[in-house]
Amino acid sequence: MADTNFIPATGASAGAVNTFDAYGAGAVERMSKAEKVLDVQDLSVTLFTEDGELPALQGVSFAMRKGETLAVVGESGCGKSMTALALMGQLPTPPARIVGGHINFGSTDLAALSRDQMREHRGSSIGMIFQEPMTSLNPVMKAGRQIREGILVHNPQMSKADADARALEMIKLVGIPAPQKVFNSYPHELSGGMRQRVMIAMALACEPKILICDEPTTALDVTIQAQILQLIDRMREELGTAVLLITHDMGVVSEMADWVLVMYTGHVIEYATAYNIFHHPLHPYTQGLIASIPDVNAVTEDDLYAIPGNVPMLSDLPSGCPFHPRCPFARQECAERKPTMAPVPGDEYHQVACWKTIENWGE
Amino acid sequence: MRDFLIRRALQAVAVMLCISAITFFVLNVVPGDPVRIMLGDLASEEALETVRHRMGLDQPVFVQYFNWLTNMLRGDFGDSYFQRAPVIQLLGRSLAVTARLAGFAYLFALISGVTIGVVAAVNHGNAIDRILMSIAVLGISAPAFWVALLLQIVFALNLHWLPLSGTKTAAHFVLPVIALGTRYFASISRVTRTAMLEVLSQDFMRTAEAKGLRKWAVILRHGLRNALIPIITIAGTQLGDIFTGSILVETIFSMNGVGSLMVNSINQRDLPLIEGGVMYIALICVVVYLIVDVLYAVVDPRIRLSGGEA
Repeated sequence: MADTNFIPATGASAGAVNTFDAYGAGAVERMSKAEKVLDVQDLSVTLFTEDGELPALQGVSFAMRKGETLAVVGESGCGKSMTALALMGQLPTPPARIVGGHINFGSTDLAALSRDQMREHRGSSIGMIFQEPMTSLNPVMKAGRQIREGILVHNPQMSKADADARALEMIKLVGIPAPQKVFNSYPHELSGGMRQRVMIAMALACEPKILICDEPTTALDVTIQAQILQLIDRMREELGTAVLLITHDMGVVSEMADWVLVMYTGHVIEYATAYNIFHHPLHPYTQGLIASIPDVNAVTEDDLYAIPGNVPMLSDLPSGCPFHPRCPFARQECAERKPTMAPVPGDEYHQVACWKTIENWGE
Repeated sequence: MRDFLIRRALQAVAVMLCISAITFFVLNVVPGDPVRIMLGDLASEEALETVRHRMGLDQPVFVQYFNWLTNMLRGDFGDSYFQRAPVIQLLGRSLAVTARLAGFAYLFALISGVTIGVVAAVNHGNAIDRILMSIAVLGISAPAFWVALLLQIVFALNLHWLPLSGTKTAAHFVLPVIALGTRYFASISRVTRTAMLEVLSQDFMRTAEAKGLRKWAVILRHGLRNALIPIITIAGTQLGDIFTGSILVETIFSMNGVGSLMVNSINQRDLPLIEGGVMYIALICVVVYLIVDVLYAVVDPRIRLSGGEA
């Protein structure tokens, strides 16, 4: 992704997929050698509600590598944001709780830390940008002070003046014109794009190894979207941050991602390099997602593809493979046994949870 | 911000003028001749006329009003008909008692109300929340005089921890302050809890936590600060209430505050004293609302902006 500077304003575009031709097969090897900064294994989160226990995440595993972007995609309610909040130790408790698995960050298992113990890592090891820049900043605190606050909490020995200087430096770094003015502005005085830049400055102020972006551009104008995505990509490159990008926009994924994690009803169903996800998608759901990207050349409305059916409720998950009721290839056994993630023969960096691939049904 | 202040101050003056006019003219048409009450039923018509003339009560009512108003602006509220002392002196003496009672009751209500509201909101839905809110409901439902009597029975008569009534020492004020403050404390705690609950679910609270701030720094610096607007609204109106509504508590604890002074003066048709008292109450209310409006602007920069432009 490093050599890509062009980001189409609309995010999704027909030509976007071609970006990966620059990589070829060698890309996988190069990327897989980057230092792992986060290793999530078998992470499970359950919602303990009055109506019973709902499995929000089931056995989610993935790795994040230094300077690389991992995109997490899937329809609303598939567990993308839940994954991010679990990494931040900010699950809404009650009702949500990590019931299994590990989040290995260096030698620490973040999943085993209490919410209070996680505090030291929040902001300093892992930073996060949220979806709604309009509501994610405190309306009664000046932008500069909000950035400074995060710096001071992780550097208690630092003077306020130094922290101010650092905050101002961050504001400059994220490309805000008139940094001093923005520093002294309240959020309501800033545009959506400016606020998201302030959010990014805030999240990166302590140079975290990991940056989680939860749909960072969904609430922004399309022209601003491209700028913010470029900024995130530039920060990743300059600071060597590992980026977890949550999105449902496959166009954004094609532009930004090195790796893609496809989620469905709290399960990971396919995990591969972005190249493979776009060129050799194996799971029928992934194939459906890619087919759903609007094509600029589409002539009639019929050319807009949609995956039939709806995402099932967590309280009413189907037996076997959670996708089988919507899957065009489903057989009897899909309803009986749940497939687990398995590497594709001949490519250990491409994993999929689908009987069709695992048992090699052919077309 | 400066224009906003000037405009609000001018409004306050206009309100005070209206109140003074209404008070004065209404009191002049209510039945009951103060001169007759002063002199008794047996006084001759001649004597009544003489006294009326001496007190300026035979002049046209508009002239009386104008005189009263201009004197008041010079700080002269006239003399009480019955107590033979300047109204300002009588009011001042009572005010010293009421201000102490109401001031401490208000501090008690504000501090405990906000604290309990925040703690309840943070513990939303669990036992602590339910216990605290039960106390609040009890506090709102219980009339001040009942709380006062209960406190007297328990802490003064049975336990002998605190004096029963009077105003001599600081200890004398403890029970009245609690009795007067209970209702206000209860409603402030409920409003605080509601406002906090709304703020706690806001996106920026998640952002604040994501920075790695301590739990209570998030709750107080980011949460409470944003919940302040509704709290100031309710607490502001209550400041007026508490300073002017302490009559029952003053009576029960035999405290000579503004409340008892007003009731006595109304019973006696002591017009200058009534008028002075009403003006005092009005002044407190007007000043409180002025302060509340200014506080809004201080707390919320968005209000400051629209206030400055309007």
